[in-house]
Amino acid sequence: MTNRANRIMWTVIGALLAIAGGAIILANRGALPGVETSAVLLPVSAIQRWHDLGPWGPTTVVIAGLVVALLGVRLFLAQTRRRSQPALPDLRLRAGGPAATDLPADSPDSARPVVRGEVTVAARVLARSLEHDLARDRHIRHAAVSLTGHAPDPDVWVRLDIAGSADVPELGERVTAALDRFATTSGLTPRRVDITAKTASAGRYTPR
Amino acid sequence: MRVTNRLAAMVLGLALAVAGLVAAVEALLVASGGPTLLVPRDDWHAALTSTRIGDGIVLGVAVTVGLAGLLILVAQVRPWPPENVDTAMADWRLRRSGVQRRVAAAVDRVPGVSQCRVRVRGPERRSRLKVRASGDRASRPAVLAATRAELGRLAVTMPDERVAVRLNRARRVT
Repeated sequence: MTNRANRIMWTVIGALLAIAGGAIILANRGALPGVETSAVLLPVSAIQRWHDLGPWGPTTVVIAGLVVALLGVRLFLAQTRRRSQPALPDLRLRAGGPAATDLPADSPDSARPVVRGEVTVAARVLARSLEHDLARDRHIRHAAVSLTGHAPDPDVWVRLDIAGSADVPELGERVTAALDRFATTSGLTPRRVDITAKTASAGRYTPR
Repeated sequence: MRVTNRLAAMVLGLALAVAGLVAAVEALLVASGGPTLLVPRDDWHAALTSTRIGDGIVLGVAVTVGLAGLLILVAQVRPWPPENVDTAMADWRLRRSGVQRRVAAAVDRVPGVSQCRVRVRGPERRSRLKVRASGDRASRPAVLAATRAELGRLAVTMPDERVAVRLNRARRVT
């Protein structure tokens, strides 16, 4: 869940609580039309209506409770993801060409054995390789890479902790070179690159 | 505030999960005629059917809820400092805290200037930078130059009108 989504959610919750609190204060002071201050919060007749529902009453509460619990779990888990886009799925690369029997007899490739198969490259491994490449730079203390979207043009999210003495324009050129190497070796062409760097104070995290 | 929102949302998610499960279990116990697990149902029913809207406790709860809502609303609506600062490089952003620290450290290296504090405010793409430090006002050009040089090393382009420098005379310690 993004920071923006959280901010919107809490704005709505805050507004609803403020409106509810204000409305109950008005009702308490007798200023809300149609609501008597002598009325009880739960009419005594409510228990009779509950009994009239028969098994549907508890069933409805059980379903509503489970839905609320599920929403709560989803909200909790959503906080662990800062991006709304799904992670890049593992790459499945198919290898091999036409079988030897499919080729003309006089073809030079007909004698060569053809290996067919599928290679799965974990997207996480690709991200790690870019992290390692970036972290080789003496001004980068730590690199975290996330790949989202779909092959062959995923989105690349890079988070860097950089030394306090780093010259960012120069560092940017080296990071661009690392991204170019990543594109060449992975065969992926990033559609979007997002780089956020956290720089230490000068004098801290000196280059290695 | 971003971290607070995230932590509060986690707590809210857990609270909803627990409350939903308790409600479901209690409803099952009601249907089966079993005893209550956590919520004494006779007590809350008696309390709700005997409390009137005009009672003091209702006012207390309403004021608490309303104030909590207003506090949350104000905290969300008021301007937040930007999380990142935009740079002149495509696709690159820098964390605000790091930019503040580096500019402050650069200004503190100017002779006669100390205790520099830097604040970046405003939206990410049109941030403003405020430099406050102790030092003689004659040091202002040097402070501005140090600020500009460090922003250059950070690839942060900020027009002059968005950079404010304020120097206070250092207190004499005798």
